[in-house]
Amino acid sequence: MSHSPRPPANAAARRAFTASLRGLALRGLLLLPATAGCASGGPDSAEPSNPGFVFWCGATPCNWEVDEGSVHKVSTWHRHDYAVSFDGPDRTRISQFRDTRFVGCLHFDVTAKIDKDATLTLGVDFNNDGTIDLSQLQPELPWRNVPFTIPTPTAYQGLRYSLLKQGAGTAQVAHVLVSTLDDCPNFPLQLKAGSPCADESVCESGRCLDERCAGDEAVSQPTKSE
Amino acid sequence: MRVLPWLLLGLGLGWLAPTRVRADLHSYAIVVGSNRGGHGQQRLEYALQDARRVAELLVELGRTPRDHLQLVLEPSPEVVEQAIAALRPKLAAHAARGEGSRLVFYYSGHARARALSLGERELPLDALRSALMALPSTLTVVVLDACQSGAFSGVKGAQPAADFSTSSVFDLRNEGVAVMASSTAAELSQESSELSSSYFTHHLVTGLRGAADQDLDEAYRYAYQNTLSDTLRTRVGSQHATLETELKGHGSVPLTYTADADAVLRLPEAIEGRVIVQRPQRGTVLAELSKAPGAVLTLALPHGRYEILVRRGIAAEIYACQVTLLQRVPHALDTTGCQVAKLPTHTGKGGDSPPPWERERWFLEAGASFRFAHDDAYVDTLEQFQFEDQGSPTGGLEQGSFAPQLALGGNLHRNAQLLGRFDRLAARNFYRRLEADRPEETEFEWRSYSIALAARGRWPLLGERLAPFAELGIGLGFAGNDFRFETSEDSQWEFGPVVLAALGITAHLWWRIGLVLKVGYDYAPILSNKMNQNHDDGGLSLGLGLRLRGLRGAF
Repeated sequence: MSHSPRPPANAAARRAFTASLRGLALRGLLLLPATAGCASGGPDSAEPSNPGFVFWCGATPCNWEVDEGSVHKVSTWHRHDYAVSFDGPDRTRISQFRDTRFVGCLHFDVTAKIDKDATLTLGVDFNNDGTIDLSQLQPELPWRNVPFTIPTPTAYQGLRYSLLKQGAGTAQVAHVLVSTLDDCPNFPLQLKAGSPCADESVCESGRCLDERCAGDEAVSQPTKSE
Repeated sequence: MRVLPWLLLGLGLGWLAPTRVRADLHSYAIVVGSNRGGHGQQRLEYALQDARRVAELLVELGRTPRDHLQLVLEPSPEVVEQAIAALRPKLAAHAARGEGSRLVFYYSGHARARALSLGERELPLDALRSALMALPSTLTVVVLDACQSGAFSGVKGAQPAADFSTSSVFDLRNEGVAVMASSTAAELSQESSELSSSYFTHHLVTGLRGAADQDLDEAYRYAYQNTLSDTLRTRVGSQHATLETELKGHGSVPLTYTADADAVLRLPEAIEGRVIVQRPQRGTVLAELSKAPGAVLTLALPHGRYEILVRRGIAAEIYACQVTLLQRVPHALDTTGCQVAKLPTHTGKGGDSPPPWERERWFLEAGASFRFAHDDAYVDTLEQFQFEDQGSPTGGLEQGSFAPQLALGGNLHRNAQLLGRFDRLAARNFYRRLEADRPEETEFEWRSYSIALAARGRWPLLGERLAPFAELGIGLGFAGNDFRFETSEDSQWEFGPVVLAALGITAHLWWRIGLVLKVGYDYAPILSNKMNQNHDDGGLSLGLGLRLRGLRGAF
């Protein structure tokens, strides 16, 4: 698992490290508001930007798009440590596209609080084609960290993470941390029908027609024509 | 440590004969007391009380009218010199009329080699001698009961800072001068918390009340023997009073007159053993003496109620007699009908030094403890929110932190102490960095402290060198926490109760300085978060510190 770099273990070294980072931050102070909204974990990184919802661009968390409903900033354990609250009456969704080609497994650490009458689903849309290829339903939680791992397809062009709250209740998410694993079980992920494909090996149906994964119908139709 | 009490007697300036007091002798007294010490000298306990006792004695039995007595407490050198100078016209008037006059000058307080210490100021012995010799009195009796600080650096090897005894004799002796000192140059003398007095002044006063004949020589012998006896087995060491006289004339020099007594207590022939005369309410000891069988001993006392304690030999029982002395009515003590009581602790004064716990007036403990980090739901939440425990800001130990600790207290009893404590409970630092390629980091750290009042039960061993103890206290805890992200910082203080408990031991290899070792457990729910989770910043601690104690009655 790759993860954020740890600061030096030695306190003095860590302070120097911290000071240098803080110096950089201070020097770039005027640029920060502008860069906060567009900075990311590298152009081809699978890690989402602003995964802790610490940066806010107005009423929305920077780097995230509000697709449905509305969200707002809430405090968590400390008055200055924030989460995103999904508080629409029914469906509320935010998402973020990552232009990554990483192949392997993606490990998620999601810290969330979900009311009894709400569900939260984390979905991954490989190729950003509008099809959620894999989703993970988060259980009802009182502020808890839930880790899980998913495989990627053997090939894809970018992905979109989405967080969808459904139900009348409220869900709050403090972090969506993603790290990459080169070796993982259940690899690769078979894409659903309609997903872009270069060959049939990436498709759940085993058929790739016109650079799209064919569904079960596509499989049976030729049989009928015969 | 009271060093070298002195009697400088009989500055017989030109005339001391006949020394038997003439009927027209006019008595004056200047009685000075000063508890204050100068630089490096600790405050005395009983110098003012001794001065008051001597003043009372001189008025009561010394034929000194109250308006002839100046009781000067905590004076400056100028005030003492003014008191002496103020007598000059009065004494001169007596001399002009051919009347005799006697001046008793008594001083109880600190002294250095060639000066009396009056707080931070000094009165040189030269100046005192000159002022006294200039008075036209026919008999001047000077009593210097002086203390010298800094000598009590340890029971072994304690030395006066300078030779007060020799120098003061040298400085004050003159024609017709007698000098009595309670100790030699190499000796130290001391106050007694049991007597609430210096040993020397106590025995001198007792002698002058009738335990001895009331003249100079007998009072000296009585004070010498009893002071030596009492101090022989003390930690500080024995005191040998000395007397040097160069008095002209013949006969005795009476200092008090028991015939003038307001009331008289007679100890019949049959009474034998240690006799203590004290006031019933306050417990103030007026006289303590050894009574031999076969002789009648008369004590002159103010009228009033007394408790007379009689202990025969080393018996564990004593007779406690309640006595009311009436004016001009001699009262013979009869132990028939007296209550048999347990031996009170202060009756063991003869030859014993005050127990060390009585000497220890206060103590200061300063050191460091290792406080083990205490994790709970509050800390778990931080970790859930991706914070990494960096341990203590100094040292980076995740297991805990080294923290200062301070305690200041005093003895209530041999087995009980009361103390105030200041402790740093914890210092922890948490760090979070959510994105690999971004420099932004979040830091959260806190430091918590407590101030508490604690009671300590202790069990002294090996002559107070070791004392295991158990401690329990309550107090207020306060913690300052900082939440930092980028350039913003949010600080807040939180408060909460603290309950502390400890087991430990104190060890004094040296008399004043020792070590304290303790294991503690504190409960300190001071911090809380927005999830209503409290954090107990207490937990287990191991402490080691230096211990300094202030002592009672030894300077």
